[in-house]
Amino acid sequence: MSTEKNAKTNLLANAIKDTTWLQDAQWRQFNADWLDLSTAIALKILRFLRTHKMTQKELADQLGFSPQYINKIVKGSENLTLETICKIQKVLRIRLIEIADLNTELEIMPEPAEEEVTA
Amino acid sequence: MNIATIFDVVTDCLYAVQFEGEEKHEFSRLFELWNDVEYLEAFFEMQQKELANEFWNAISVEDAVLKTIRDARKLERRLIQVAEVGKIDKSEALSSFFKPLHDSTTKIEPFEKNKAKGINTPSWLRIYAIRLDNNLFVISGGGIKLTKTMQESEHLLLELKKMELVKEYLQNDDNSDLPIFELF
Repeated sequence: MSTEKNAKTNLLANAIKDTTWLQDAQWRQFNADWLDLSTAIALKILRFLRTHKMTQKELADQLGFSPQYINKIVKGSENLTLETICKIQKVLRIRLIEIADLNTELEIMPEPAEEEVTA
Repeated sequence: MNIATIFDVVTDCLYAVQFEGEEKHEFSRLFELWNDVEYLEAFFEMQQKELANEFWNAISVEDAVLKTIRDARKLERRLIQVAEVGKIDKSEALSSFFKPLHDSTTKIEPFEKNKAKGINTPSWLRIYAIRLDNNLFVISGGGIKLTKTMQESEHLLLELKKMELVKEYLQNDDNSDLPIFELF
């Protein structure tokens, strides 16, 4: 039976340094704005497929995309083009994104406030 | 289920187990899952009974997915801060994140089982770890806790087993060359 001290020594001596998690985490933070949109689109598609008992494969066939690409889209981390979004909207006949009314005055978005993070 | 190896996530502070058959260690695997819309939608679809609970305010599957991703992002941002600041200031302790698994614990046990919660309150995100020192934790896994106790959820029962496995692994004197350790 090892003591905590021994276990700590073994751990520090043998653990393999991971260099990828911080990069992945920073990538997610940096790209948060478009990832939010990608998440919302993925969720809308998944809920539609579930409600209509449609598979990702069937959607892929209708769009002429590979099932792998559809799977990437529904995971919510694909940076979709407007062309792809419009194709999906057309096939599913649902609205995925909307542009604010062009007849209204342009509204300047406020600076995003730094989200307070406390432990 | 076997432990394949242990990764150094934040040197001298945070370590994470990788199980055999998994492509990533538990810490990375958790944040990948908590950002995976397909996984979360299917998970919450199966957990609708729990979501309907008064405590979760009958939150919809859609809102549950969005809440998870938001909460995971905040938690990850905080951990990045700890990782970056921790390089300079070792007193920036992870111990402020982790608490004993059992709320009733009054004194620190050796190889204590710990949990960390998401930052939003209430949060259902949990990271489970074994504490080796004030600022040294080995992550065994984690999950989404919608029930009052871990025993009520099948996926959290597995997390309890994983935590026990990691504890036994660390307690084993022969683990200096990272042997395979079996759970099942």
